[in-house]
Amino acid sequence: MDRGFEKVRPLEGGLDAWLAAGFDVEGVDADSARTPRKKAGSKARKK
Amino acid sequence: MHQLSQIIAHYGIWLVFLNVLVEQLGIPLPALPTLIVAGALASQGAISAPGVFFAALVAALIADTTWYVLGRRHGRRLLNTLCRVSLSPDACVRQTEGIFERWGVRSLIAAKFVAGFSTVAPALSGMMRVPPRKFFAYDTVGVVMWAGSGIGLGFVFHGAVDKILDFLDGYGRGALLILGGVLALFILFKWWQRWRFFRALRMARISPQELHGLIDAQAKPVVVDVRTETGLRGSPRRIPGAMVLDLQSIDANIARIPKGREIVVYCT
Repeated sequence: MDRGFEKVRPLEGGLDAWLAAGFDVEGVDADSARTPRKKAGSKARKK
Repeated sequence: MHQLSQIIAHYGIWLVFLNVLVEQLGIPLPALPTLIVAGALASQGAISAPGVFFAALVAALIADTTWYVLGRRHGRRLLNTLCRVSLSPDACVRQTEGIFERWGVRSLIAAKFVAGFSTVAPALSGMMRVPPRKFFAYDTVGVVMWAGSGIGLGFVFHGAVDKILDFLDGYGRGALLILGGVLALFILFKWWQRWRFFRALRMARISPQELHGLIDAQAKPVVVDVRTETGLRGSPRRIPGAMVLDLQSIDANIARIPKGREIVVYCT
């Protein structure tokens, strides 16, 4: 908020809750994840 | 000797054992004050100092080994459950993993002195597949330092402890009620803090369904994954399009987050 962001909300239950709800996720490479990168392949777990 | 001191001296070793065991198993019953009182009594010869020390050592190692074995068996699920009962589940997982990433198994040495980390660290060691011997060695050093410093403080400040016991002794057996009442108030206060914290979080949080709706509606929220490296390796998946940010170097990465859009941050 101090850095000019007006609306910041945490996701309730984090990634676990997102997965439990059955929504899409995509793969991520932990080694290069913290630098800007292209989208990885989707695992398509749509509800 | 004070009546209260007599009770502690009589049941002291078992009291220390049970207090350390339940605290290390995750029940909010602080064991450090018990160790300090036991140390003060030991300085006067009312209770065996090695007895108190070994009771604390054995109890803590039993509890820690239990968490370590459970951590090995159940991995991240156990850590999430442990952190869920902490004040801030997301921060708990991220912070404990962060401490472990930075200090490795050596973090077990200081774990007992860090509120909230004491119970989680052995489980995390199990989850990280720290070899049993290494875990046992570092954990023992940590427990020895923690129990030793509690008992040592009692030795050093036995005069002050004696005054408190003197004061409580004036109330006879009622002193136990006073101590029980203080403890009950402490636990109630903690629960009240927790309840307020969760209520505030519930109001501020976004549910997965709501976030999914925002993404579907092309509202373009900026989704930020702030998991630790361990968290990423443990579950190498993210919400589609999420930006992975390292909170340790947030200043260098903050410019990557577009302003003027809603930001949703998630952890494990």
